[in-house]
Amino acid sequence: MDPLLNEFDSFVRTRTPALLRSAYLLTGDQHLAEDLVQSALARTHRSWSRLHASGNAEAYTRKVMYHLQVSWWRRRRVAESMPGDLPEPRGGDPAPDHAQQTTLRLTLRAALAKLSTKQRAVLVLRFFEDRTETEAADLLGVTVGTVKSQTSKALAKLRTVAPELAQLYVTEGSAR
Amino acid sequence: MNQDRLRLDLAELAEEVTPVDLRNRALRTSRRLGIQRAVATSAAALVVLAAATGTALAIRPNGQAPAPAPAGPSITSSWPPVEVTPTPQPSREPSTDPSTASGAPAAGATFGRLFYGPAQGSGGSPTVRLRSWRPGLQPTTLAALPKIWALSNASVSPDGRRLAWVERGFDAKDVGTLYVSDIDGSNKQSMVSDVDEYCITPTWSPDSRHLLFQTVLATGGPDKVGVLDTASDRRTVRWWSSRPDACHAIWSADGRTIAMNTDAGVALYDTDGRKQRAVPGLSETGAWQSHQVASLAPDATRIALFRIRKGEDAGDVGRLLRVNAVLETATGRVVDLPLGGRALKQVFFQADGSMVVRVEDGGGHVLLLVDAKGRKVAEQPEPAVLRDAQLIAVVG
Repeated sequence: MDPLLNEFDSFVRTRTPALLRSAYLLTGDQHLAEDLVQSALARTHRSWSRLHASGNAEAYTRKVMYHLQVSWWRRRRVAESMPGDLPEPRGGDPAPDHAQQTTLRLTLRAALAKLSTKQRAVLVLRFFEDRTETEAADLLGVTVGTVKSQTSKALAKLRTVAPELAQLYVTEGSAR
Repeated sequence: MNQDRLRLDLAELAEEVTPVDLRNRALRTSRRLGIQRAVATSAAALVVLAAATGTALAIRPNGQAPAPAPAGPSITSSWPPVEVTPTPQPSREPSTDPSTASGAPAAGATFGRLFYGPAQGSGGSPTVRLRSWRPGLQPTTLAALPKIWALSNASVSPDGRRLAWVERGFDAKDVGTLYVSDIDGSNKQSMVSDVDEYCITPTWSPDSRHLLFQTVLATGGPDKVGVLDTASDRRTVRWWSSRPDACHAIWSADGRTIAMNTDAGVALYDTDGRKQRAVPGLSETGAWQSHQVASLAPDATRIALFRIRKGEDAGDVGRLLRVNAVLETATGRVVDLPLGGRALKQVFFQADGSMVVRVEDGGGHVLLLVDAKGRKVAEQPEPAVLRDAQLIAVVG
C-alpha cells in the first residue's frame, strides 16, 4: 500500500473523533458535522504530500473546516429548522441527579443554534478548543478585533436566548 | 466570567456526536475534487484558446453548440432572448366546493394552481411530497423530494408541469446536482453538477424552458451564474459574465428582469446579469434590510419579500418564502394589502399582476386574491391538510 496513503489513513482514523466533536458544536447536527469533516479531510488529502511531513495536517484540516463553516454560502437555516433530525443525547434516560445537567446541555444546544455561524465558531474556538484570540483569528481568517466583537456578541446572544444559562456563563469576561 | 463552566458544558455537548469512519468518504471526495480541478483547468484553457484565436463559442439557432462538448455544462457566449409571450390569463376552474361560493372572484383575476412544499420547522419525515391545490378542487400529491431540498430550492416551472431542484449528498459526494423532473417526480434527469443548493437556487424562466442557477467552486464558494436550456441535448448553458454577490433569484413573468437579494437589499438585473438598479429603502446601513425575496410582479414593478429592521436577526442563506411586505421597486414604498387585520404570511404574484396573499386566520390559513390595483376580489379558506405546508409557487 502507498505509504503516503497509509499515513493519511492513520491521520484520519486518529483525528476524526476530535474533528467531529468540534464540527458537531459548529453545526449542531450529526450529518452536517460528518459532512463538514469529510469535506475538510478531502482537502487535506489533496495536499497530503505537502502536509504529511510538516506536522501541520490537523491545523490545516481545522482551518479548512472553520473556513467552510463560517463562509456565508454554507450557512443553512434548513438544518437547524429540523429538530427532528437532531440526535438524541446518547446514554439513555438521565439519572435524576444528572437531569438538571442534561436539561442545561439541551438548552445550550438550542441556544447555540440561534447564534450566527461566526459567533458559534468563536465560542467553539475560544471555549472548547481553548484557542487564544490570535489563534482563533488566524483559523477564521479574520482580525483579532473581529474575534473579540464576535465573542462578545455571542455571549450577549446566549444571555438573551437562554437566560437560564446567563447566570452560569455570562458575567463580564476577560480576554486571554 | 465562569468560562470553565462553559468549557465543561461545551465538552459534554460535543460528546453527543457519534464517531464514524470518514476515511473512504474523504478519499472519494478528494478524487472528485481532483477531477473537478482538471475539468476546470481544461475549461479555462478552452476559454483562453478561444480568446486567443478569436473563436466565438456561440449557440446555433437550433440551440446546439457548434462542437462536441465535454461532459457537463457547455461554454457559450450568447444567449437567445427570452420570448415574451402574451400574459397568460389563468383559466377559472369550475368550483364544486360550497365554501368558494361566497369568495368567488368578481371578475378578471382568479386563483391559479397553488403549489405547496414543507414549511420551516415542520418536522416529520426526511422525505416529503409536494402538493398542489386549486380552490374548489381537492389537493393533489406530487413529486417526493428530500425535505431539505424541498425547503431549500425546489422550483416549479411557470407552466406547472416541471420541477427543478438541487440535491447534495452528505456521504460519498458533496456537490450539488441540478435535477429536472415532471411535476409528479417522473422522468427525473440530471442536468448540471457542482450547483449551488442554497443561495442562487434554480429559477425557471417564464417560458418554463430555461433555468437560472449558480455553480460552486471545489472549495465550496460561489462560482458562476448560468442559464441552462433544459431542452437542449447538450445541456447548453449561457454563462453570465458578471458574478453578482447575490442570492435568491426571481424571474419576472415578462422575462425581462431578475431580482435578487444583495447587500442586505434587493437589486434588479437584466437576463444577462447586468445590474439595473436597487430597490430604494433597503440597505446594509439603512433602517430596513431584506435578505429574502419571495415573488416579483410580472413587470417587476412590485416585489414581495421579508423585511427586517437593522439589527434584527438576518437568519442565514437558506430560502425563506415568508413575506411581510410588498414594495414598489421604483420607490421602495410599501403597498397596502387588504389583510383585514390578519397576519401576512406569504404573497405570490400571478402572471396577470394579481396576488395570492396567504394570511393566518384562526388555526389555519386563508388565501386572498388581490387584483393588480390592490383590491381584494376573493377570499378562500385553505384546506386544513395544507396548514403545515407553505406555498412555493402559484401558476396560471
